[in-house]
Amino acid sequence: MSGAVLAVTGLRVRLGGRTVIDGLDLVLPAGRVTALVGRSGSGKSLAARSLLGLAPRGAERSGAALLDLGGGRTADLLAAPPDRLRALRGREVGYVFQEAQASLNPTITVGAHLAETLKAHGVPRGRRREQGLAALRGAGLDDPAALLRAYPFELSGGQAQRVALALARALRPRLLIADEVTSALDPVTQAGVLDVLRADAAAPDGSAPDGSGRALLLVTHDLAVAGRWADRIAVLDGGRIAEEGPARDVLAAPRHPFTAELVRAAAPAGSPPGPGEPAGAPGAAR
Amino acid sequence: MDRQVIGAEVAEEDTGSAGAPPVPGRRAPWTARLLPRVPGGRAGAVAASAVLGAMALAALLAPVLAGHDPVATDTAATSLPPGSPGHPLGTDRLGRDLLARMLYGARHSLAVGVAASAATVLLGTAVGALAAVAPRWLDAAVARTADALLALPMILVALTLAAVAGPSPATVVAAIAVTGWMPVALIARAEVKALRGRPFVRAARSLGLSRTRIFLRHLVPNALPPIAAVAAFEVGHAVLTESTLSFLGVGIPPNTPSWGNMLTDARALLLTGQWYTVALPAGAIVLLIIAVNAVATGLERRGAGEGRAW
Repeated sequence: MSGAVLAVTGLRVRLGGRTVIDGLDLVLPAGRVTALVGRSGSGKSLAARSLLGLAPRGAERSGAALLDLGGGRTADLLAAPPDRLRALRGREVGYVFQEAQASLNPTITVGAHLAETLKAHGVPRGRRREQGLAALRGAGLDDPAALLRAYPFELSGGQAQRVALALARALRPRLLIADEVTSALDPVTQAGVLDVLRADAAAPDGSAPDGSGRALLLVTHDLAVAGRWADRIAVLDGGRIAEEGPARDVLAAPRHPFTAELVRAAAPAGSPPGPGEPAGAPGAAR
Repeated sequence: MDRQVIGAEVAEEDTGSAGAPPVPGRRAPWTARLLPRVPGGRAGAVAASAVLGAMALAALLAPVLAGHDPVATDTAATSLPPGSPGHPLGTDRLGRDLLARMLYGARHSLAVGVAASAATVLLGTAVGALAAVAPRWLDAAVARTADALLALPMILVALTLAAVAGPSPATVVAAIAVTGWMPVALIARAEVKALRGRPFVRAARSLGLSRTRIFLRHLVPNALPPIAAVAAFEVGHAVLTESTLSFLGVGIPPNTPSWGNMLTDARALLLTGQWYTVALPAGAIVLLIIAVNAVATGLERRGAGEGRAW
């Protein structure tokens, strides 16, 4: 286990004259799934998108977000010039959006999506097909060769989400941000997608040549999802992290009143919420 | 293993409502998918497509069908009425065969119409789409310029341009494109602006694609369906403008057969009993424009009726 893949300090985002994110500090450790939870409209997605410069036009960002690039190199996502940030997107940081079907271009095939992403990051023509197929397979899709020729409208919701996932992880980014990716999926598909994400964060643990690992940021409003799949939970309230810690501790003994309120709201009526499953064995209960 | 099984279950479950699992990969190229949709299964649009096809075929086969040189004069056979031996549609004042002139005229009118509308659409799409992604001041400048030009009587502008450059098909194409790009540009601009906020464009950015790539591959192709409908209307508009410019003497050079030129030659004969010299080219122009508009409407309806681009 190495240190942090991403260390965000003092992130502030102003949008439309209002400070939505006000001094957010967050560390994403390698090999771990960190969930960023909060109520709808709390700025979770805005914070995540701001890191990659994907916030709406007119958003003002400040602070620092140091991304570990391995080999002792780092990049400040918030200070990177546009070209540098473009090169980091997709290659070092992958982003999966909630609306999977809508996040695929309706006029081009899945194969074309993969090919252009790989091409944009300098993967030679001869290796694109193979790498694209591997990405689809890695996202849990059967018959990837047929899928390469499919258009987005030919995919089911679950397939589209996995294709979006395959695109975001095609270049094996160091950090993957999954923004409410499972909100629109049924529980079975949800579990399948989250398993892929989790395996990603865990896979290179200790195996990367320089000891660095990958990290996953799971942006969700669903405390149950966070409890089951995340190792750590960071609760966003009022534009800051209200509470952060191991998922089990945060859920079992919330220290901040807002977290307690979230936990209470997520619990079935009449029963206290159970702690998250033991980290690292999410599939065992299924 | 577990994941594979789950994936398979989900794929079946999700597509169950559609009645069949998705069959990826069995999709024709977009050209093949677009073309059969032009008639749209509607009788009017089918008939209109047939008329356009017949006109295009007649224009292509003009040398075979005409039987006469369209510019050869025959002083022994001037002003013959339709049905005359050897001249099914009659002849004009100079004894030129009207059928030959109609067929060869179709070549020029259709070619100029198609070329001019293509130039109009290309220019309009390029200007409008680029304005949509340009800095705000430039975008605003383009939009206001288009608005201002729309307020000018364009036939006067086209007439001036054509008169300055001299009559030739290229002049006509340029004059039509220069005076007709604004509506296309405003539509392209609005479409691209709307598309910029769509999730797939944001996703393309998140994958590290360049601005140029996103513009050419994600924004422009998805803005095309409404532009395609306008493009079809533009063909009709271009043919009409060509005819008007030719009629006014600044379009296709006078001796070259075109429907507009035929009207110019015949205007003096309108009241002298040789009505057919006017009726033939005028009827052809009207028929062409109605047919083009019917097809364009069909295309527009199909575009509006579907949630996806093509």
